[in-house]
Amino acid sequence: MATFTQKRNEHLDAYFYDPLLQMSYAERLIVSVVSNSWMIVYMVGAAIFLLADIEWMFWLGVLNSLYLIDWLLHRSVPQEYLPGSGEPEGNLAFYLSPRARRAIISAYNKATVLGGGFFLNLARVLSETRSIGEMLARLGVDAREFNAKLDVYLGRDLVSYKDKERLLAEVEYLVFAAFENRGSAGRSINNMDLFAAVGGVKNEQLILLFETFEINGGLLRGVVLFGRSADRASLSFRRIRRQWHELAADEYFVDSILELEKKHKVYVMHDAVRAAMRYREERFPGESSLGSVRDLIRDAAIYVSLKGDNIVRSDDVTHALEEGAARATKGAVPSSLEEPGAKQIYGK
Amino acid sequence: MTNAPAYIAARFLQRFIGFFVHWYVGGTRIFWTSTLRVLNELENLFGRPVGGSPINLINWGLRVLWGGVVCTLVVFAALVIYTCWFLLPPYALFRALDAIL
Repeated sequence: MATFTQKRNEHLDAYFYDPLLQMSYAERLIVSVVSNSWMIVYMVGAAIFLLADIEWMFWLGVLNSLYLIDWLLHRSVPQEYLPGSGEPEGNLAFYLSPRARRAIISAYNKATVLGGGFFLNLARVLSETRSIGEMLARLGVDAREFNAKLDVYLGRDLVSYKDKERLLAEVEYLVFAAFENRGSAGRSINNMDLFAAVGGVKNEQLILLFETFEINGGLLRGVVLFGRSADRASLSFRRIRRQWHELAADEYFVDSILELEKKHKVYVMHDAVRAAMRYREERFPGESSLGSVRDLIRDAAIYVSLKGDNIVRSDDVTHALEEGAARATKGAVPSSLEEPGAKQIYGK
Repeated sequence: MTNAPAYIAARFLQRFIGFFVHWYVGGTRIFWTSTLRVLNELENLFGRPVGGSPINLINWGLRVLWGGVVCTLVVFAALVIYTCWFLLPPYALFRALDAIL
């Protein structure tokens, strides 16, 4: 794997080591059963202690509740946040979000026990998650159809890992690729980063699968930011965050598109964003601001919402662009768009 | 090579230490960063410059004085909340041990 060697050379202090993957399947199962059982017992115990009339039990219940609150707050947080540029990278396993780590372990188990390649198994595990379903939807891919096709390829994939080192090397390769793809907005390596990395793997079955749906690693990386922003929190939380933190330009852009979606009750497909970007490139070459792209998508969203649809496609962006040009020529609001929200925007 | 019992023990210890790190290190950072931001907002609100007329200057002076009082109250309230929050885990442990012994 020449690319992998290249990646390794670029990140000399980075490595991947997850003790769970070094264990046998039986040992991983024991760890999982013991950890989950312990948490259930702990929660029940904390509740009983908290409700008890005995003083020492109550105060121990308070202490345990504090621990549980902390555990709940940090449940979806990686062991460490992604380092900034120039900072030492260390063990990449620390940057995996707990969900991404579970997906890797699940795919690893399936590849070991049931057979099939790790990459295909991981794609299957990830495609069942909500975030990847949304990613696919934004690309116009039917998740059920994608999963059905994936199952067919998985059935044909006769890879068996007699050599554990090869399987571990594939996991390591994928995590490195996902780490490479991380954007400025990412704080951890999540499911979407892994899926985008799977899209770039040079695996015959995967290439065929992704070609069938006309998607690739580049396209997937393009929609990762949308999923990451939507996944992180509600719009109101994002507004607070924006007020209190400096956000990267692409985060602002994605947030504004998600707000448009909520405001106009529409869903902006990735091809619409790409079309708007393309028009920006054509009309304002060298322009780095994403404001004109957002405005164009906003016009398209209003147009779509007024015609009673809820999906903004590239055609709608083209239509909004033409409407804008016609409006500039005539200096009037199109009659079909005479509603308060539209007037506010189109009437300026 | 790691075995299951060693891994479980290491995770338990990691989570136990992690709780105190989150509570004291992470919590202190979040608490005081938020307090400083609130004070910064208050400064912007009360210390806004005004025109140069005497009435405006008197108004501005009163506003700054009132702002000083509000900021002091905010700092005082933050200190009280922070102390309570800082002492909550040891206090709960003390009460539990006190009741047992």
